[in-house]
Amino acid sequence: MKKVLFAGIVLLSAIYIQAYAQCNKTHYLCMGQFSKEDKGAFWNLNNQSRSGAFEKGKVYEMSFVAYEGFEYRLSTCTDVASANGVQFELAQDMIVRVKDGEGNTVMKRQREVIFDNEADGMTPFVLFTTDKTRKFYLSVQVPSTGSSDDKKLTNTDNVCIGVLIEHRRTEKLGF
Amino acid sequence: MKKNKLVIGLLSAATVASISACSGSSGDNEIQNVEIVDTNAVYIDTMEHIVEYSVPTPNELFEIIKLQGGEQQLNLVNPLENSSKYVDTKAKSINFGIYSADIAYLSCFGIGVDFLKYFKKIEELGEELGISGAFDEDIMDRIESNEGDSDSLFSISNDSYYDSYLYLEENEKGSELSLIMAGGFVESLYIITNLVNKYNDSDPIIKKIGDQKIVLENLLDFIFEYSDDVSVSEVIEDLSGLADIFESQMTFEESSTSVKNNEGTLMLSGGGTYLMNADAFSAIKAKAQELRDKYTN
Repeated sequence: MKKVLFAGIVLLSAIYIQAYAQCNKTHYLCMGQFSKEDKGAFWNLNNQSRSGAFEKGKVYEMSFVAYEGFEYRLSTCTDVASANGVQFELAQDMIVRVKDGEGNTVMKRQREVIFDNEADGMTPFVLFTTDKTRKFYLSVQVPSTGSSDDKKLTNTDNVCIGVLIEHRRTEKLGF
Repeated sequence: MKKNKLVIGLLSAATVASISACSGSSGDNEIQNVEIVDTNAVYIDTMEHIVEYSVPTPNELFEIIKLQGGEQQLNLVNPLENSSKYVDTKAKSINFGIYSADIAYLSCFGIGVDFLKYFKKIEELGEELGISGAFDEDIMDRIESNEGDSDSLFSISNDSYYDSYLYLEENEKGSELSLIMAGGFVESLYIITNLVNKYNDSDPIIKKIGDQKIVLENLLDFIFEYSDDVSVSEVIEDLSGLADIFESQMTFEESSTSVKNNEGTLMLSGGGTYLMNADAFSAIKAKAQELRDKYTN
């Protein structure tokens, strides 16, 4: 058991070191924001997770697909040590019926924000399930100040941002 | 990462065009067209609308298909003997994706015997494509020591797919990545459509086949970035044909959206959705077969 625990710690440390060393693995850093209890919960890394270098102050937007039958945990993070969390919004497109200028009913696609972490005390993650497979949009506010831990980015206007998506099975499935 | 960009306006226009094609007559209560409205008020202050599109891997799909009663059928994977036919970069890339989906399927459904052979073939194709750096040096040892453990093999196939993705992205091989993802998608769709013999409204696998409409949309948005490449452009044409079938054959149903907070977990339900029907299933299955035959033979 001790060996397994040690191997786990070594592996986790290796992932963290690697994440700091490479911007494209920044999403692994997001795990560091979880409480001990949340870290202990079993989640699968979802391969739609993304990381990259982005200009300070800009907004990074991505779209991903969530399947019915899974529970998702989505978190965002940055390698800027001084950043106090990363602001993000989770949204989806809705189709709504409206009347146009000529009185005809038309359908319009409208973006609806489902979760805004700023309105929720800058919580670093959101948990969600969906009753059907759907497409989501995530907007991440890149910190406007601070410096990246990535040596290649230190004297640039860019910092690393990570979006960690994890999933696990929900209990009810099938018929 | 920034490679995969599309301006939302272009997408909006494409969506308007495609949904409008399904509109009915022009009565007062009929839907005449669908217009995309960017509701900027709900956004963070975006200076430019650049979106990166992610696509679920075959592993994620097979994991859920298995939970929903999908069964293993060894004859569905692409025979290794076919690999001698893959001479050019396009064929090698697409079939790298096809064999990657095959190992996800094999490991998910507990068929560990052929896993190693298939993985060796993927590695071989990877070397020929110049992306052998995507694989860990010890991955073969991991496979051999876990040959009877389908959970571990499933995890290895998932990791290798993701590592390949990151490697290709980092090394600016977006065209190869697009072709690999397209191959993986077509193979996954081919396999799941062939797990169902007869259409049944209540079959959850049928529902998952319909769900691939959304996955395909994101895939097309992703690979469109690389459409300057002739091979990618040809694949976009193929996949657009498949997308047209999803769009025209499935039935759109409206319902209101609801978001509830259940002890800290948001539960989303409702909203407009495309539903499967017998004709859509037949047409999608036939197109998946056609593309799969085209890419593997």
